[in-house]
Amino acid sequence: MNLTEDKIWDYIDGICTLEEQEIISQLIAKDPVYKDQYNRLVDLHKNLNFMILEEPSMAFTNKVMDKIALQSELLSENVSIDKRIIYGISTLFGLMLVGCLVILLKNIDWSVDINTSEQLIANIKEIESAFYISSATQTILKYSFFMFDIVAGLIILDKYLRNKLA
Amino acid sequence: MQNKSTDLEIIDAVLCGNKAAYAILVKRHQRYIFTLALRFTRSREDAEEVSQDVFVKAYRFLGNYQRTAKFSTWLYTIVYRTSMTYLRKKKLNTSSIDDEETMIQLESNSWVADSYSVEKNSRTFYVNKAIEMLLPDDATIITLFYQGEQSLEEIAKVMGMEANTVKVKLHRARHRLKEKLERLLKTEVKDLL
Repeated sequence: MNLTEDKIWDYIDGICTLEEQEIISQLIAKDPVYKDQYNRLVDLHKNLNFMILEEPSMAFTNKVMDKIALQSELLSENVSIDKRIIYGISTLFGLMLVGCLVILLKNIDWSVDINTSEQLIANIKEIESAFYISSATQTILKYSFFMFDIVAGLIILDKYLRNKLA
Repeated sequence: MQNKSTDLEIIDAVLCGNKAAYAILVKRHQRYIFTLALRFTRSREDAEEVSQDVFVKAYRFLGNYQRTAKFSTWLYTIVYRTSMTYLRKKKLNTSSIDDEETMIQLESNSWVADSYSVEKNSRTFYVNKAIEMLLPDDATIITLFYQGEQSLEEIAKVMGMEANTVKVKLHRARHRLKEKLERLLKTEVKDLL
């Protein structure tokens, strides 16, 4: 039997048959060349078994646990957003739009024959008066929308940063 | 939860809501996972990132873990896949790592020459450095077989190969490792082997 390196490795790993094991052990015992080759491979095998494992950073476990906590937080946040709230807000905006349209249509004087530009301007002014908002209300509305924009912006920024960190 | 609890006992505790118990599993396996990730990434920073991702993924899918295999085998499968994705993303030319030129570059790296003077004298130091010079697949098989204490069948499961293919690859990996060691140590090899 010609003893190859692979066969010696099988013998060292203990994955060859009993018959092969017998033959290989005899060859190693008798032939000094095979014995030398076997000893070298056994040495390498021992060195590989006693190899040092690499060590991650000291805070490794904490970092993993923090990541898990952050992810669980994000997941629970996603779960806590009730879709009914989103639908409710959309319905409210929808109703507001429909309301505006109804007021607009109600205030149009359909009997007037709009042939001249004066008549058209008069009709538009009539509609405008239906939507009249005092300057104080206008200021409140302006600041409300401004505040709403800031809050929405902050929420988007928060989401973006959380995604980036995750 | 005591540190001597088995992996399965800890997993049960985590699944029952004791999230903190997962830290024991992380501590227990982090060195193996990190070493394995390092075989692919070849950078400590990237290996740390990959290892952290592995543990986070494992936590998320802990409920899917089939207890037919060892927990470590399941974990190594995640490392293997995550590292492969990492390599694909980084578009590393892994074949070039085996080049003579790259090997010379690795040899000239500071880690060989600097503060490791004491460690340099140890056999394991040279073996470790030779492993770092192998192709990721070869280094992974050797690491799993010797450091991860995985059987050929378990390695086959981790790498999605046949056990016989793994056996052949292990033989080749050890042969290449021996060659690398010989090149690395030149005259010292006779003392080592």
